Amino acid sequence: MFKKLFTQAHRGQIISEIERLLPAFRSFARGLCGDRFVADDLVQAACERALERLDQVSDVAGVGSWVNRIIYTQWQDLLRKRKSRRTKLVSFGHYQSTQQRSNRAGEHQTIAKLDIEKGLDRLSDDSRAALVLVTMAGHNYQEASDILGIPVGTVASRVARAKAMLADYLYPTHKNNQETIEYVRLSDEQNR
Amino acid sequence: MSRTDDKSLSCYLDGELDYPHAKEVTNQILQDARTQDRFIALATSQSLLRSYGQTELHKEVPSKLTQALQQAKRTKWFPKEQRTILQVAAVIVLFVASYLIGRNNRVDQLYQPSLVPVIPASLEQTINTVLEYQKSGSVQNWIELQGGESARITPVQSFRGSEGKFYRMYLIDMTGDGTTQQFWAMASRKGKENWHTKGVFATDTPGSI
Repeated sequence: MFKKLFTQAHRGQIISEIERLLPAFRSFARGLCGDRFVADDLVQAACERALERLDQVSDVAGVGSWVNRIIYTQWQDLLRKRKSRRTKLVSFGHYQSTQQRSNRAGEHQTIAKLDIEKGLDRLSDDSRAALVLVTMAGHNYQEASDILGIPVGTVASRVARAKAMLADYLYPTHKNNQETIEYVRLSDEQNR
Repeated sequence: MSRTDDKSLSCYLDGELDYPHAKEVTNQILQDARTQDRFIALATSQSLLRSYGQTELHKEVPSKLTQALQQAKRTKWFPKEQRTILQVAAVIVLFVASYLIGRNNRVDQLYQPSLVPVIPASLEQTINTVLEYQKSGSVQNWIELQGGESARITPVQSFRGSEGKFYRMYLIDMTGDGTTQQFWAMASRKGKENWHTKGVFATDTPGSI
């Protein structure tokens, strides 16, 4: 009983943490599926499932990875269902056209964002998931490995492949050696 | 550096390489023009992707997402079915506790009537007077003129019960037919010179006072 009470005392903390991380979950889900409505549905379903299984979380610090894993699982389920029904998922391309229509209505939208969305849409689901987890959600390879349920080496390969494909699509228009050297210096300090 | 080294560059950008390997990649980037170009391409696309993610982070969260969480926060600690069980358990615990506390505090129940002698009316009047006016330790004799029985009443202790009643314990030595027997007795005050003896116990009664 006391153990139960102790566990229940953490319930509020975990829910608060989920609430705090909602924007990050939405960002991850958006990167994963490419459509903000589908993303919100994914996050909502994941939060509901998380609330049902709060007793599975022992550490509040791990809530982010845990919910992201649920979001990813929900996304995989959704993909399977859609594929079995032979229906096409809403893609970044579809969303992009929606955005372009809204641009005409005056909504601010940068070209870079459109390019990124188009580039992400070209990636495979697995590669996109790994890339979004590491680059957009800020997880390291080990955390991404836990969330996706694959080895760390596979995460590294998928992220690299996705980055390469994205870079091929978004090949930079500016080549400045000085900028390169600055990038190298910063990355070197980061690695050190 | 060939295209197969995209993995190293990617890990380098993500800070996932150990220092010796990272240093090696750094040197390759600085020395090889193709690697430089590739690095810029990867770094730029990664930077754009991060910015895209940051933009998403600052968008307003729809109320449908926050509502469920806020409702869950307000939810009681225990689910409905557990709450019912706990309520029933709490009632039982309260009942048992109140019974035990009441049992310990109620002198009426502690001293169950177990009258050994039959107290004559005239003796009862004497007891009332003694308990009303005599100090603990003082002795008062009583004699029945017709039957030749006699008694000696000695108040022993006075106290006040939790319910506010006054109680007195007294010893009574009753003599009749040539024998004397001692009893403990407990009386509660009903009014002036009106004491009600709750119980009388022979001093040799097992478990008595």
